[in-house]
Amino acid sequence: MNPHRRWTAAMITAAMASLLVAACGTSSTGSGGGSQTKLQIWDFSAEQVNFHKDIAKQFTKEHPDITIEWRSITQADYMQTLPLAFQSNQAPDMFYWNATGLSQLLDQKWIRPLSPSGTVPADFTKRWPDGSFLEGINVQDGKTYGFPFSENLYWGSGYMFLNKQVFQQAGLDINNPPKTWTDLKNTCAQIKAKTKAECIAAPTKGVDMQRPWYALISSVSTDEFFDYKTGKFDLTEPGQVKTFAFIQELNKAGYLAPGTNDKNFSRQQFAAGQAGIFFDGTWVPSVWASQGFSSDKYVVAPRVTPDSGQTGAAGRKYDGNKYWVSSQTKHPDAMWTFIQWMTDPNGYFVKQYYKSAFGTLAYVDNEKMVTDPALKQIMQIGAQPGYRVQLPVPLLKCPDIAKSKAYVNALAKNPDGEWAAMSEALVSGQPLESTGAAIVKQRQAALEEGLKQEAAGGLKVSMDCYTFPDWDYTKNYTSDMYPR
Amino acid sequence: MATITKPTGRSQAVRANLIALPILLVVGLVWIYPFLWTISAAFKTQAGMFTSGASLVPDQLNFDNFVRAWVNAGFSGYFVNTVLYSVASTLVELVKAALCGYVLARYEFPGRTLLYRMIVGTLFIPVASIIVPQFVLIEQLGLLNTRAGVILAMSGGAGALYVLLFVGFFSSVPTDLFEAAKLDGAGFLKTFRLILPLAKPVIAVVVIFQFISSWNEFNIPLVFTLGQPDLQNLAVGMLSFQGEHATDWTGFAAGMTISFLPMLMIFLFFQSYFTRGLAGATKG
Amino acid sequence: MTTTAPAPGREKVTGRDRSPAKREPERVDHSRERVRGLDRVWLLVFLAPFLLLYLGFTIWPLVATIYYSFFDWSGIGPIDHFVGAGNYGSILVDPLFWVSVVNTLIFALLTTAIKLPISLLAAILLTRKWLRGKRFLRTMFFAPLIIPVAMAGLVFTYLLNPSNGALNAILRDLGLVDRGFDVFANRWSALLVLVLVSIWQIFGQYMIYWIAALQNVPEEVYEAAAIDGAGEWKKLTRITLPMIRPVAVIITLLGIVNAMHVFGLVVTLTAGGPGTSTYVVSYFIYQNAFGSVPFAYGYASAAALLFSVIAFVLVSAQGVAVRRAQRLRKEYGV
Repeated sequence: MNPHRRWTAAMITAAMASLLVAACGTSSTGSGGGSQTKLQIWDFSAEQVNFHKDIAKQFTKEHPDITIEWRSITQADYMQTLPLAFQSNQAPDMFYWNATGLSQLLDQKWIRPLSPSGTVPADFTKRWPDGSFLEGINVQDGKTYGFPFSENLYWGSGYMFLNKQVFQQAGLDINNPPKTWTDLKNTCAQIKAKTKAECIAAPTKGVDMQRPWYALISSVSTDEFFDYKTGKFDLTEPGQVKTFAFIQELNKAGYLAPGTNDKNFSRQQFAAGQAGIFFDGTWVPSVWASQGFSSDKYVVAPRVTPDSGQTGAAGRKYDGNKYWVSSQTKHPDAMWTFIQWMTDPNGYFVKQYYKSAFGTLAYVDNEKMVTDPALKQIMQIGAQPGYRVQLPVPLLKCPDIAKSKAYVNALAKNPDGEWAAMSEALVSGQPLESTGAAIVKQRQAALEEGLKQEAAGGLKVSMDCYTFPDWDYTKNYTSDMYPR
Repeated sequence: MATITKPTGRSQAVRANLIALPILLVVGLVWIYPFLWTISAAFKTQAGMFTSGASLVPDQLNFDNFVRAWVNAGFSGYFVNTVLYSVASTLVELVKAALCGYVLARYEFPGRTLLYRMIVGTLFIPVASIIVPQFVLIEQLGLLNTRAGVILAMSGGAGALYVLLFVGFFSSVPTDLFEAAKLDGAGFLKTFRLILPLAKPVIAVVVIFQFISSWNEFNIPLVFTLGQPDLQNLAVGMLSFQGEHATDWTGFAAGMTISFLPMLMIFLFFQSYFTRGLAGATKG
Repeated sequence: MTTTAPAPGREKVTGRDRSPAKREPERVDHSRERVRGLDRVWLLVFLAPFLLLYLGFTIWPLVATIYYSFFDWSGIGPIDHFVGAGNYGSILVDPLFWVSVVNTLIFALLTTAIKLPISLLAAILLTRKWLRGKRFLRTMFFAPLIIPVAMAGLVFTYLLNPSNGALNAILRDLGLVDRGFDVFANRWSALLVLVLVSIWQIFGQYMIYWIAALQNVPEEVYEAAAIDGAGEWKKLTRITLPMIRPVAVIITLLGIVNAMHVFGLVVTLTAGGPGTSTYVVSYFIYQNAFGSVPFAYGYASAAALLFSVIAFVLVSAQGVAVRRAQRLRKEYGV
């Protein structure tokens, strides 16, 4: 009996004690001591964790009164966590965000200007090419809120990667990559016949379908499910249907690696020499490098075009504004110091970033700085005229779009609808036209309805803001083309 | 005793073992194969993990992944938090579930049926969908960014299941046992103390599951310690292996392998609680 | 002896205990006594820890969720756009929601129907007195439970992959297939894989539940039965199963409820595909709430509540049906 009693008592005491200990344990750690300023930066870049640690160390060396705490949270958790952080007044000093643009961030009161005064000096903006700071994109009422981080000429998806070893085994000349859809099929036929490898490592699971999709559709149509020329969601338009039919044809012929794989799997499949071709973006060389697959083992080539010729391009968007200064920062001065430091084109940040070949920054002379052979090839391809073109931006046509939620709301419901329609078409063999009809109808109705309601509420918005009839799909829609 | 249940005694037991053991071992090995695969992945390179397919033999023999896990996942720093959260939330969970389950099973009081039905009814609510209100509560209590807040949130949500287990257990304790205790003059508290040790199997269940789930929990520590990253646990640290463009699976596997150990130890230890709780109790 | 268990769980689970209460009123009264005097204070003290946490972390969030569900709210900023039953209305006409409901129910029923019996069998086997190495064997079957879902998903992605996975290697060696078979390319095989992997992972949990329940049966009952010459089978069906019934009801309930909340495996194994054919409710909720910005938190709250109600009704109905069947067969009542 005695042991029982003691046991129960001990259990309860321990529970209470641990709560107490836990409650007290944290009271000692305040918001940093004395003169030391701690800046928190959040993003979702696990592959850059060591780089960020190194950056923080160097910065503190140069600015002993400021320490940097750079955290990486996985993307899915980040999207839930950051809003909660803002709600509870514990947001970081600087954060990564490219899910919505400037107007939404201002609307949510998440951001403040980059510099304490609001305006930035000319020698700061000079670090970027002309036209990088635009009202509505990263400038509002003369105050600068953001800066392009990645540039958008080379940075993006839609490049073709060829495995040297597989091409050699297949007796193919890697310096003469397939250029048309027919070339691609012939290449695949040869790879399948002469090697044990698969032809294309194409992820088709959920949103990862975008890797093969963007690589192929970009030569046909310049959009991401929305046609800015006509103002229509266009998943079921002839160009899209034809392109997807080609993917289905490749699949049927056994040219896509079997399985409903995700992007990680497909990347490794390619890196392991189990597939000859892989479609992905500017970031992938650094991913492979971290996994021990160096850039001398593969070649980057332009995406393939339909035999009838190219009718579209990859879309360049103003989405390079990735790091924002939080409205809740208590150290705007220190933050501004850090931003100036990290955007120094000849600074430590840039040097180390390029050393790891993470990508191409907007404020750096990439021609000079890029040393990684794969990135160099990517730059050559991306710079070809008509390979990547600037998309029209409704916000620049109608300033009231900043206050409109119709478009984001149209995308919010069933966000993966397009990819689901493709996946269904791929396994069932149905044309994309039929599996995609519902989602296109839903989105189009939501957008038109939403704009109508907002217009009735006094906003100057209409479908006209989303329509650019004078645009040529393979040319930049430059800032001077917007009606003033 | 054994001779009563098994009249033919030893030889039959040996024969039964000879049949059952090989079968169980083979099934068990297939069963834990994916588990072993995870451990072996902790020794492989990324490429090796991919190309080796089903093989359990690593393509290298070094501890690079473990070193990376130790640093990236912040094992050295987060380990103490993880242990504290797991132990404390398990204790809280155990105490509240045992007390409540006992009362619900043994006593009739106004609102008992209502409470029971509510507990069962709320089982159906997906826990993930209520984290925002929980967050608001912890914030109002001023416990955001404290260990106490994390522990409270961890042990607040899941309790209903354990209460039901205790109710199930206590209501199957023979009534004569309570009568006997009463005849001995035992009061409310004393009766509980007499009966509780019989619930060892249920206690073991609660400890094992609450410990493992708090050990692996990452949503709560992540969200409730946003402003104080040094209060986070290993599972959150492990998230740093998953990035926008790549996932470091071998580092992740190494991190997992290190953190398997405490969980297996808890399991092995509390297994000994699976003794016949009621054996002999009815005699006394 | 076998009549000592009044099975309170069973009655309460279904939420309608009028008829059984009428049937066995004296038993219920016997098992639960009324509290008197000082004991009332003790009763409150015993209930307090649970009640406090329960109110704070379950009831209040539930009330808040119900409140959110009537708003068009992104989870950020003020909750001011009241939409009434609008969220419910649009969910009920969303075909994807119903696909998710059907998949979730199929998943829940299949996993429960498989995992409960086999884990009970394992538990019975692993509690035999004569068995050697129980500790080791139990640990083996328990081990998958401590692997986080993301890792488990990865392992099976590799093992089931048509190009170099273990499963296909075996099938090919056996000559059953000649090109890799993609289990995730078809709704039914994908669902089946989800069910099987989920059972694999959760099996240990139910085995432990059953072992705990089995320990609850007094040894004397078996001894008495053995003296009466009862065989193993008779002991199982006449003593063990009836005696563990109160806990069994709860374990079954847990099994169904937990299975209905399946999420992580769907994310890592199928991502809802092919198409949307393996969407489950929690994945649907997640996609709509957090899948794209702005979050539809109100909408997700409504979906979560709606599904909770559907699940509750279905499980209750099943409980009623089971009880009716049992009463007809009079098998367990004894």
